[in-house]
Amino acid sequence: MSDEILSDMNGNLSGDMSGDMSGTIVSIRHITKRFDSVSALNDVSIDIQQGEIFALLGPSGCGKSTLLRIISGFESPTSGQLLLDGNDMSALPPNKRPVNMVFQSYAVFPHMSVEQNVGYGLKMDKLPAEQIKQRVQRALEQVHLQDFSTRMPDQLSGGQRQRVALARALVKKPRVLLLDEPLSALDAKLRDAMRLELVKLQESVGITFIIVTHDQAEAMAMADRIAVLESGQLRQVATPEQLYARPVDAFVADFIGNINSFTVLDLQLDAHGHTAVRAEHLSTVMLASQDSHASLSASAGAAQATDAPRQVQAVLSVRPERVGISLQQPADDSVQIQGTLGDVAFQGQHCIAEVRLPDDTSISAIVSNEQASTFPDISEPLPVWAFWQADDMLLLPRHA
Amino acid sequence: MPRFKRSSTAGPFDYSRKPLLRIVFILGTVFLYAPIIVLIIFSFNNSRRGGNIIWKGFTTKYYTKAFGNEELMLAFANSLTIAVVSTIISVILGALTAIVLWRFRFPLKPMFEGLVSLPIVIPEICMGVSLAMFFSTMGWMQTGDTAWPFNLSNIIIAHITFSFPFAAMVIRTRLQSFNREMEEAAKDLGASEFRVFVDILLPHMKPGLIAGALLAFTLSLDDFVITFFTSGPNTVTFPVKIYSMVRFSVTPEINAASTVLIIMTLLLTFIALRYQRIDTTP
Repeated sequence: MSDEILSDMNGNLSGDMSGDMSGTIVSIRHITKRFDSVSALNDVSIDIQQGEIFALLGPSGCGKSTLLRIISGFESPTSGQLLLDGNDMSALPPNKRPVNMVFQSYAVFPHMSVEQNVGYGLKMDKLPAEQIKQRVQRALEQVHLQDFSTRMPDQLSGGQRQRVALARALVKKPRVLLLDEPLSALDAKLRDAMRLELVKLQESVGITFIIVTHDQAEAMAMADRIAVLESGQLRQVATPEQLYARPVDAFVADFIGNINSFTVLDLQLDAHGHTAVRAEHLSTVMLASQDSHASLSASAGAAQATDAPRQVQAVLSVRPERVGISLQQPADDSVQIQGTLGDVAFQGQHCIAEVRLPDDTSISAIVSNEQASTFPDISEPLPVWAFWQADDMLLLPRHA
Repeated sequence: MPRFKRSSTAGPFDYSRKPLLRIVFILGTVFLYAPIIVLIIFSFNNSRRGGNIIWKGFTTKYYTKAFGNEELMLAFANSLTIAVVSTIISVILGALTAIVLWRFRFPLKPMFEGLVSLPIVIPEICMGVSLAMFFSTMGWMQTGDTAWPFNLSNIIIAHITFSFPFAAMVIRTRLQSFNREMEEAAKDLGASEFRVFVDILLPHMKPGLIAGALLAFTLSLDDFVITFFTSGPNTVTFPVKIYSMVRFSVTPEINAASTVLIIMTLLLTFIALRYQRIDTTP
């Protein structure tokens, strides 16, 4: 492919793609990966759209890095298919795939200058020296390293080395840029700045980014869409807002932000489109029925029929920012729970207050600094009520 | 301050304040370097015969004499030729062995690793005898009518057998610190297996290759036992020649020749160290 076509394509990408999510670029179809007998990925299917920042999120060992390595070609799936622009990638080795990767350790070549590092991929493509020089220059400008082109990597800071790794991958104009825990090696301050910068960079080059991370805040801040993985299973693919507001299960809810969860003891669907849920610590809560409630109810019924302990594999959850704290019992029809006030942690713009329940568990609530200052400073436990609206609760299945 | 006294904050010359360490340091230095310094000083001694022990005035004539001694110079040339050739081959073999042992898993690998390092632990005398027997059984013993560099082939082969395991060990240690992501990054950027080796792995191995080469070179240059068993009448090396000269009399000529050798080795090491930039980047 000539440079003109590539730069043309790049122009188009940056023009159309930042807002328009048309077309699937990477299609992961039923991919399973087993190492010996250990299964790292189990029937994972995801479609990644052109021009988006897509995050693979999960705790360590969930298979997200394996999935990234399958896309880059360093691992091959045990079964399943990987399509890039509709073409099967399984036969292509990593050095022939139109995807590039920013490695967790950056893997900047220590014996080459910044310029040589960035130009390495183009040299491998046997481009003329003049063209390499121009494109390296442009790539270095994109990551603000134009004044460092003759430096050696050991004269650079960690953040600068990461920029070299970024420029080195971007200069090849890949269809997809893969980033493996791109911010984990940076200190907190630099990490926040780099988050924003990565998003800006992606907008300007228009290349699809796939980011692997274990940090939910990072994924939420950067990604257009997030796939949550847990022990090789795909749990949910959604936008950050959807993940937060409508998690599909207890794992996702707990992994994305904080949440207070109560184990569900029993639930029943009534004829008026309500679900009556009985959970530990709580009186029966009436929720508007959803499709997912039916199967939970069925499993509860089954457990009843077999005389098994009456416990449904589900939790009833509420986010801390929905929980209010009152020194008097609230008079309205909100869900209420009495406990004693535990630690109040100052967070800057607000406080996180802990309400201790009689059985030593606790729930957290976000309270304003003004309200926190009204809590009397006494040594004996202060009885308080935590309260919230039933509509703010989520009924979520829990996987064993 | 006493809280930090025992930690790693000790300065580089702090040991000189501890009397016991100072004694150990002085003794070590004296026993290591005093004989060498004496050797060099006495190469300028103007003694005639009867042992080179008493200082009789400064002269450089023994240097002229040593350089004029054709047999000694031939032995010197032999030693250098053997060292250079066996070093090159040892480093290549050692590097290949190191890569195989570092990179691949295969059946009987522990046994293979053991076999590679066996020449390091086998007594030299046993290797000398076994190699001598091997060469004579194969009819490879040099008779004296082979042309010059080729009559050294036995000694070169013998030197490779004992120096390449050292090179392999040093290079393998270096490879241990290689970040595999570096290799994957190169492949990701379009490099073939061969280009990864040339562009990425080889530069990383360079300090190991240099250290291995230095080791192989010095081992070969001063080897006596194995060389003695595998050399023929016309293939005398420097150590063997010195040995035969010492048997007659210790003259400053030997000191002069040894001094030249010491200076050459020092120079070589210095150049090698200058060449070897230590990489700290991961």
